[in-house]
Amino acid sequence: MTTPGAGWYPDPQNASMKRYWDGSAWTEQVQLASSVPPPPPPNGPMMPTNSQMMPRKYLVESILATIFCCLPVGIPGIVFSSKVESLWNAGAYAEAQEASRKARMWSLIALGIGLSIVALQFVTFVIGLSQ
Amino acid sequence: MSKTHNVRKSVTLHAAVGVAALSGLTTVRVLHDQGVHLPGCPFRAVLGLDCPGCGSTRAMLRLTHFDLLGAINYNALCVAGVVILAWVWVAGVFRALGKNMRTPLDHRYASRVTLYAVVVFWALRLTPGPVGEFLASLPR
Repeated sequence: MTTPGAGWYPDPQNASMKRYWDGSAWTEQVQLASSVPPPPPPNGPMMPTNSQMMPRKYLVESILATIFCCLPVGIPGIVFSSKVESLWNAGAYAEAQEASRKARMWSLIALGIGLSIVALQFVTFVIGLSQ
Repeated sequence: MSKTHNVRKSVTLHAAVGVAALSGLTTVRVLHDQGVHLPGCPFRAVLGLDCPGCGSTRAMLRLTHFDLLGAINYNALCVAGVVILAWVWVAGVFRALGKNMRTPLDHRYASRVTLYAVVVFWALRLTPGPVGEFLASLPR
């Protein structure tokens, strides 16, 4: 007499469940009888979106901000730039992209502050000249 | 067609950055020679302690006099940063013209190293003693 092949069969102990038969004995693995197999994991987070190129780190911009104008703005920029690196190396491609966006935001803030300071000093200088 | 356009865009951008940098340096030098007081650091004004950027302007001024040691004495991190940024600039021009050139900032842990360098430099320049004094923003 042949035994059925391995697979999921109605659990003899509980009709609403299925139990896995490994071909020679029942195992401990059960699942609901009406359960649908889980969908395959979506491809999105695991695939790099941009053909293996790390998103822009904005490291140059953050260094410039730290050295020249705004330490409080340059440091977060460098921190997020560092996060782009570590997230990308760990395979978290979407998160690396998000860190890149944040690094970019801090760079723009630094640029805005830096330009404002330069403009202010220029105006002060010109006013000083005219007196 | 579009590749030539990109090359031209990149070269123009690098030329603009180069001109801006030289203009900035010239402005600082001219203003200083005219006796204009160079801006100070807001962090230092409030807390009395150096921030990692303190002394950058004066370091750049020293470089216009080709005084490398003097520049390093004002802000070593700034001088190192400027050297690396100049390297990145040169590499950018080479790449626009089709020749790849590696820079320290391409390294996969460049940002992390930069962060550590800033923190260590900041801590060192605040310590008492000869090292702290050399790295601080006042000349010795």
